[in-house]
Amino acid sequence: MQPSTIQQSPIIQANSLTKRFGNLEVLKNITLQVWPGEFLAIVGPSGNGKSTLLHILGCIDRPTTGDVYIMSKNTNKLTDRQLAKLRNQTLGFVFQFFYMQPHLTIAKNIEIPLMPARISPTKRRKLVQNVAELVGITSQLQQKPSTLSGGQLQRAAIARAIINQPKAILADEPTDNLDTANGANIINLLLNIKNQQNTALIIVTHDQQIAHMADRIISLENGTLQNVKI
Amino acid sequence: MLKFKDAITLALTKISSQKIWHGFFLSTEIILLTGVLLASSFLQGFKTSLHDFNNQGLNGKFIVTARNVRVNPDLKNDQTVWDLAESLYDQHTKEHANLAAQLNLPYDPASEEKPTEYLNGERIFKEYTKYAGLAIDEKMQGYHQAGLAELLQILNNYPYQKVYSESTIGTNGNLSILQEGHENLQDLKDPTSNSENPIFYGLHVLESAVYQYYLFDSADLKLEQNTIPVTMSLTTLEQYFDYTPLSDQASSEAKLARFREIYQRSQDLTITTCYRNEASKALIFQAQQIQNEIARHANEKDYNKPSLIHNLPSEPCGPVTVAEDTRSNDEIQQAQLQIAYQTALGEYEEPVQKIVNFKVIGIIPDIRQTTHSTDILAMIQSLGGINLATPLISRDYYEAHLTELSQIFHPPSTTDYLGTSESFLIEFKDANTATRFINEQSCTLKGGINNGCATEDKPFYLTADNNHSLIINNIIETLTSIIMIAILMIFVLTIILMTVSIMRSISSDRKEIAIFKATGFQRTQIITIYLTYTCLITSFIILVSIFLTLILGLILNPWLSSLLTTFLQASFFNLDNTIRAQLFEPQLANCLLTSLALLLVSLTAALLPTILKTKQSIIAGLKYE
Repeated sequence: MQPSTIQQSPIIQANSLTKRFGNLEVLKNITLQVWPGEFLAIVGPSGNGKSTLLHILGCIDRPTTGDVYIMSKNTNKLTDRQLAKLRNQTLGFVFQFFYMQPHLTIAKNIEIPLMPARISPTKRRKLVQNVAELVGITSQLQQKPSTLSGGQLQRAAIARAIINQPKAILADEPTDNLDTANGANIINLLLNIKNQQNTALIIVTHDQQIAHMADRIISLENGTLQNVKI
Repeated sequence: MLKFKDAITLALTKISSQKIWHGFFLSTEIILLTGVLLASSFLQGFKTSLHDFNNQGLNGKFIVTARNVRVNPDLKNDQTVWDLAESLYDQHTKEHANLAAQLNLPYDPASEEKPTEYLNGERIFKEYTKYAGLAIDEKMQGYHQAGLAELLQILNNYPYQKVYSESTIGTNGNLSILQEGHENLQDLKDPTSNSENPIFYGLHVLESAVYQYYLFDSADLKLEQNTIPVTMSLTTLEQYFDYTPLSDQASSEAKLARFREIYQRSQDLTITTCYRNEASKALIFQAQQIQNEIARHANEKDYNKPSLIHNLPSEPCGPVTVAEDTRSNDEIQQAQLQIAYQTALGEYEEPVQKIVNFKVIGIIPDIRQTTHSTDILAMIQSLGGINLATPLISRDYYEAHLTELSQIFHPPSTTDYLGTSESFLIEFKDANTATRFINEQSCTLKGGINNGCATEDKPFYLTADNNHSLIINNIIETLTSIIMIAILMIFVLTIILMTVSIMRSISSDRKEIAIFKATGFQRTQIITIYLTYTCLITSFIILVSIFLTLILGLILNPWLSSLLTTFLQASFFNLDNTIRAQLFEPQLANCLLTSLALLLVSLTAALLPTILKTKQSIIAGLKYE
């Protein structure tokens, strides 16, 4: 997917990223852009740096060299406070293992990203209700995570990721812990959100079916970027 | 910043996420802190109660006793003293011989014991003999005896409240107790065998202000002649009433009951005694001896009875009467000459006997502990009494009845070889000055009180042995220190446990902190969550501990305070039921300080791991997932 107009800027732009863990170079000179409303799938064999790349793009890890721009801001030059605000307001992360707080209700779990923003309780309730309806877990809002199925938990995790209406959703193998039907539902849900909110969607996956639903697929092999589908 | 409500919500989530661990941790902390607060409240209550009871009597005053344990010039081994004694012996025996010759009386110098003699070729000094004593007394005149003036001069550098003087007046003859109006003449032979006789050694004269507290409410310090108001020791009265002494291990209730009984029985107690001077005693002995002799020879036809026979007194404390006087004129003249001879020597006295009543007007609770103990309570119990010498009469009474009393008692001596029969009681305002005065101004005993002590710079031997205020003060301070150290140790343990627990709890939240960061929480916001968590948990511990302390304190207080009251009443011989011990004395200031300290330490303990964890990268936090 390419920018539709000359004015449109990438949500995320990575320039010459490398990542080393000791002597091991996991990412080698990666440069890419992610555009608003784009669905980007990152594929490749295990241990080839897919998740690492996703983490760097989502600003929860830092590259060894290179720059990541989020909404044209160089994240290397941001303070911790600015970076936290960026993660909170611009990016939404969906983890493979959901990472719900087990002793909070689903509603409170979804509400967590609203807390740093000091949003009023009324507005919070409304936002939570809206995203819950969007992901289809309205009836589970007052339940604890332990009472929900894997699919419901992933929906709750997606709700948490999108509650601040991020510009990009980054999902790290979001269907790996789900059965095929639930996995498909989750992908459909993410696509719906992407389409409704013109959100960029970046998914790391092994699943070729999911990958082929993407606007663009990039493959990481030995830390090098290979465009598979453009 | 995070909203307070959000911080609370997330902190509570943290607490509920580790229920078992938090349950154990909270319980342990609450038990320890409750222990600290309860112990601190009980300690304060114990101290206050001890102080309240101790303050009632003489033990509440800081009294130092100054005795002039004078210079001991070792006169016993001074050959010049021996020679002086010999010379006095020679001089006096010559005078006595001349006087006897003038009166045409036989005189044997051997009737007076020589002060020195040779034993196995070695000359020895018999210090107990009359002329040895006279020689020592004469020599002692050259040694200055420090008195009140010197004491006041020394006291210039030590702020004091008052100086009292205490003197001893020894019995000049014999005082024997009349049992149910009957005089036991056998006691005259050895008055010390009359163990329940509280008077036989004499009286101690002291300003009544010192022992005012121990006087009965009805005490009359100005009783008339022949009824002397005295304050007796508890032990003496216990003996007088023929009680078997209680063991040291007797319960407080038993000790208190005994004291109460003696106190009540002594309220209207007047001890009637018979005073006999040496001449009166001698006549009694003589009468007894002659009667015994006559009885022994009753069946002997040839036995010639003595020419002068006396009857023993027909009434208690009466004089001997002449039963039979068949003396010749010569014998009568010899007897008269003997009286003239003794009069000339100043040694003759008319027989005097009279009834003397002692009205008990107070009880000095002296120490009855006989065994040493390291048990703190036993020590306190052994120190509750006081050591004032008894029987006591007030100085005012003594001075008002000097003439009458001097017929029965010796005046206090100021030239005793080993010291005076006068000492001074100095009352200080505080323990520190009293202790400093003793430490800086007391002479050092040279192996025992009889071996002398005084020097020119330090003429007084200073002790705090009349009462126990300084010791009790020390005990309270030591006890406080020991318990405070124990409390501090428990508190430190509480803090360590708190620190370790909170650090462990926060450190285990690696993943949670990473998720907070991933969802856009700033470091300060995450720190706020954990500090709120720490505040909540510490406040909970503090509040529950305070609540438990109050509940336990209030439940235990009546029972423990009652036990303590009995113990302290028995220890300090206090029958005033309006003074009650209060063991539980909540310490609001201590409580707040302890709580604040705990809170500060907890927050500090929480801060470090939280800062470290929030500095950790999100990936590191999630890396094992």
